[in-house]
Amino acid sequence: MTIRSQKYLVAALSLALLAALGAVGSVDAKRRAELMKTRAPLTAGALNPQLERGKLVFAKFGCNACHGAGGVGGVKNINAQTGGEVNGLLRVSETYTREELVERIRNGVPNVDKADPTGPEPPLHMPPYKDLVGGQEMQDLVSYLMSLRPQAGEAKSEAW
Amino acid sequence: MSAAAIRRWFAERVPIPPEMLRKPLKEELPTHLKTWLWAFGGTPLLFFFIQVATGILLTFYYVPYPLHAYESVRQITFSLRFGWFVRGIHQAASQLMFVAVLMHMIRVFATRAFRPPRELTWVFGVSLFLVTMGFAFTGYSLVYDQLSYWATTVGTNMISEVPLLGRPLLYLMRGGPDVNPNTLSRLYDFHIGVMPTLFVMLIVAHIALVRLHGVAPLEGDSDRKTYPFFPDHVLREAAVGLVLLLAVVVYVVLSPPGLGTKADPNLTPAHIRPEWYFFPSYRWLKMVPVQVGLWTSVVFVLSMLFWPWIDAGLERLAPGKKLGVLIGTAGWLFTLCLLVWEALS
Amino acid sequence: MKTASEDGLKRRDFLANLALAVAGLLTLGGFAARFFAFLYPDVPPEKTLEVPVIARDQIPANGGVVVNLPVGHVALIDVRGEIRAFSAVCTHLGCLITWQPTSDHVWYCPCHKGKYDTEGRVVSGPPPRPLTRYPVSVREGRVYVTLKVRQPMESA
Repeated sequence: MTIRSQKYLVAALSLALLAALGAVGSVDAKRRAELMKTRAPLTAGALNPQLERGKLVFAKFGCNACHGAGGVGGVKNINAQTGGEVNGLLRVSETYTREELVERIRNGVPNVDKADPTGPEPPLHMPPYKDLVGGQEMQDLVSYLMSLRPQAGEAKSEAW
Repeated sequence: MSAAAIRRWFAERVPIPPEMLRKPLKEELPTHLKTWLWAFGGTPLLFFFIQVATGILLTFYYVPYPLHAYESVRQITFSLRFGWFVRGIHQAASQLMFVAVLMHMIRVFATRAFRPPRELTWVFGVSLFLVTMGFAFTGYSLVYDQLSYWATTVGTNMISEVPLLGRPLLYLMRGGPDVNPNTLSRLYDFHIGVMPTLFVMLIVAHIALVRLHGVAPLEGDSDRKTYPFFPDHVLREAAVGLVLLLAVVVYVVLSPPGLGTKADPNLTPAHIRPEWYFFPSYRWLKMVPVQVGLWTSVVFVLSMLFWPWIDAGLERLAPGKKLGVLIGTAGWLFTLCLLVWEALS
Repeated sequence: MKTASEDGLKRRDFLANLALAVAGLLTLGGFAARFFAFLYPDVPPEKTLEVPVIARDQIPANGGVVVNLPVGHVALIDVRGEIRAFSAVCTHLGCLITWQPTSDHVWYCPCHKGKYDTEGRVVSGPPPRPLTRYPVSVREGRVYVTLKVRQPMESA
């Protein structure tokens, strides 16, 4: 191959790389579009100082010990129907009303459903909090929970 | 402002003797370098530059503190513009760098280019290989997912098997008795500070020696045809480099990086394995007692480092029998078998 | 004397070099663009929002208070029953003002000794502009302020 044609080869390879970089751009644009859908819209509620207080209540009563930091879940609860783990709380706003959430927190979950009926009793269950959390603290806590949203790129559960 | 005037301005202020500039460019290389087998010398360096560039970019967002580390990697991989791209390249190029270093090592071994007077070049080269493995080990630990955490635990535990010094060395490496936030900081510092510095020093020494000695002639090769370094060889290396870069970019686009589950210090996962380049040691250590495994590994590494002298000794022992090539190849094949065995199980 | 083919040779060489240079520069530019976009922060857009800030009775009569929210700092003042809201960020170089009622000013910035009055105007010191004024609404005992806010930056 002559030097000149080698130069053209290198130039052509460069342009192929440039084209690949273009593809990178469109892939990224697509990913961002998906990402924007999961971003919680900015509302006055989202900026509420009540949410900061609610976060403190969540930590104060040790909710993160079972429900994970920030309610992300991931704490093992063998044979629990909720995927062998204590359920996360990132989607409570989709399935609970405020009143239902208050009731749940007050009464707890005395019996956790088993994944395998013949298997062992799941070791963790939620105690009732009605004598511990009430009034303003309960309202703050519920507001906080209702503000939680699933995050982008939740890791899939793998063997490790 | 003529070109000559600019050149003169420059030459007055940076007085490099013109011969010194022209010599490396005009260097005549033996034509056996024109084959693809010889393209692997420059590729580890190319990948190193890619790693430095993408690595520096990643440090703008990575946080070397437990759990924050995971979150920052998540942010990079899923939220930031082109984060997946930068991280993807960094991951893919690290694997390819490993392959490139290995191929280069095998080529140099097969052609016995480490013969006197090039023994030191070989020693620096093997050291570069070891540093590359160090990069790989520390790099993966920084993600702080389950694999990171437990691989760090196991990997650093190996150190404690060294007699007498084992425990203090372990504490030094970990910054404490168990894996703790200090450990992550240390691994991070090794990865972005200590090892890049070592690597640069070694590569400068390695390349300087190669340039000073000239490319090793092929054994038994009396044909002395040559071709110039610039522009012929440079263009050839540029083409190879671009093909590899293209492969990396296309791979990352088709298979963007993901993320494992967050590190849980209270739960060792059922199926734990290191990255593929550690499979040979991993398989070996599963087969033999720890002390045996440790010392055989040390002997293996030392024999790699000092191979030129071992080879020379074997040659004196049985002249013409090519014992060095036989034993060395047996060693490579054994390592490969361990790798494949582990990969398939 | 240059022959035609020599000229042609030179031109072909020049073209090859040009192609190489252009392709190389464009590709380098491509990478640079991607990496720059990676580094450039994802600044959330600003939105005008009415935000509940504080309970009415927490502002002392004819007094002032600075409230720190995740999205901004608001200086509130009660002037003969009327609540006024300002940005608590000094217009000079960004320090937070403090309530310091004296004969000539009520807000004081410790960094370069800027002083503002009850209308947010600069009384003395280096601040170039008066404090930004925000619309206020008091409903059911709560003070609401209309602010331009941004979602806090995402970080690990």
